[in-house]
Amino acid sequence: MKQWQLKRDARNLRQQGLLYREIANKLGVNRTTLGKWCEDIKLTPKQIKSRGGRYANVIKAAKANHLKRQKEIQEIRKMAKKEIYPLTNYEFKLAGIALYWAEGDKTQGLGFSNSDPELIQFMMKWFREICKISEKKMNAFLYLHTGLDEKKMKKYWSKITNIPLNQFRKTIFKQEGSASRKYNQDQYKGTIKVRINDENLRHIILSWIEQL
Amino acid sequence: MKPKIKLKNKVIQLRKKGLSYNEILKQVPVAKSSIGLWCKNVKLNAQQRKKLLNKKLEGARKGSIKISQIKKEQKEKKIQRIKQEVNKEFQTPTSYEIKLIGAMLYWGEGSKSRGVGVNISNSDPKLIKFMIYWLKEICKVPPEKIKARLNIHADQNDNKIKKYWSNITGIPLDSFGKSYIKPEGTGHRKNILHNGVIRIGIGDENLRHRIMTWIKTLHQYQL
Repeated sequence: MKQWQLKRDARNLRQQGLLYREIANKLGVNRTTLGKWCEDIKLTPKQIKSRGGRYANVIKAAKANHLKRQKEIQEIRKMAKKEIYPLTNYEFKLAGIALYWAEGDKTQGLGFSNSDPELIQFMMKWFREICKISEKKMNAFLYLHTGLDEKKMKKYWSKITNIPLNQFRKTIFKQEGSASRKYNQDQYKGTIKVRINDENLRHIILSWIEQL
Repeated sequence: MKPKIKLKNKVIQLRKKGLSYNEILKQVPVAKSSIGLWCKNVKLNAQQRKKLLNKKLEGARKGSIKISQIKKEQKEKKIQRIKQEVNKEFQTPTSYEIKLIGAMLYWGEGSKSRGVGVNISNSDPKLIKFMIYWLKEICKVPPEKIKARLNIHADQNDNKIKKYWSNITGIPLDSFGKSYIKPEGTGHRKNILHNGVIRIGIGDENLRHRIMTWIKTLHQYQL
């Protein structure tokens, strides 16, 4: 059986109110995995009350555990936040170079692709403020899976990048693959590639990377 | 004015033999433009025309090679100049700057989803080296906790590549997990990474939360 079939069956069983342990026995899937697959399924009060309050206890313990962990994470985040200060211009430059090193085109041309809108925003600001790229030199195109609304996605990315729609080139559509996709369909907005026509800048950025 | 009629006659004679203007110029000391003017009406036969044309093409070919060489040299000089200028812009990074750079690299190459710990995948040895340094020195990860595994193709030598990465990263061979070996595909593979892709990681969710917060905070400051 394929993974997605297992997942579908597991979710069905969970909706019927079975314990993870029972589902695990039936399908041979690890309980941690089941927890991830079914985390959004809410049991009805009737289901919880069944089996002599056993569910209720389990859920209570899990909730307490979850809360405890959430608090721990909050604490870590609070501490980590204090370790970062607003960037100076020089630091911003370094940060952008590092990102370009990670995600930028290095073998040919000057370009940058990613699917994370926050990262793209950060990079666009860097290109504009640190590299002083004129707007005309930028263009972009999207990689989308078939079935996504191209117009909507273009508008979305145009807003994120501040690149006008007429500077978007032809979208590349990926053929529907056989693999089950893991990411959340609602969140997935495709991947954008921003390209910049500036050969000099390319050498400058590549030399920056060498310096790091 | 000196009568040039003798010269003119000689030039025309030579042209009739099928010589090029440059060849005539070597024998008769006049301006090249005069030769052109005098020989305008000299008819050449097919064979002579062909010879001259070949010469012309040969010259053009040599010229284009020369020009492309000059251009190449100019370009290299330009790149050198850029590199020198760039050199001056940088100081040795402080540990805070290293922290920032590492966080950015993690933003690009690290694992971000819940429950997977801290992982970085890449094929660039320099980048991986930097990240190892970052994990050890900035994130204070005990070196023995850093694990690695490779992504390689079926036709590659697992042991050899493991040794290669172990050398670069300083991660002992027994900290390498089982390599993920990709089965032979359809043969459309264009980019062959001779040393595969390495993933280095630590099973530490707390550290992942910490790094992700650094990144989030940086992004917020920059908005």
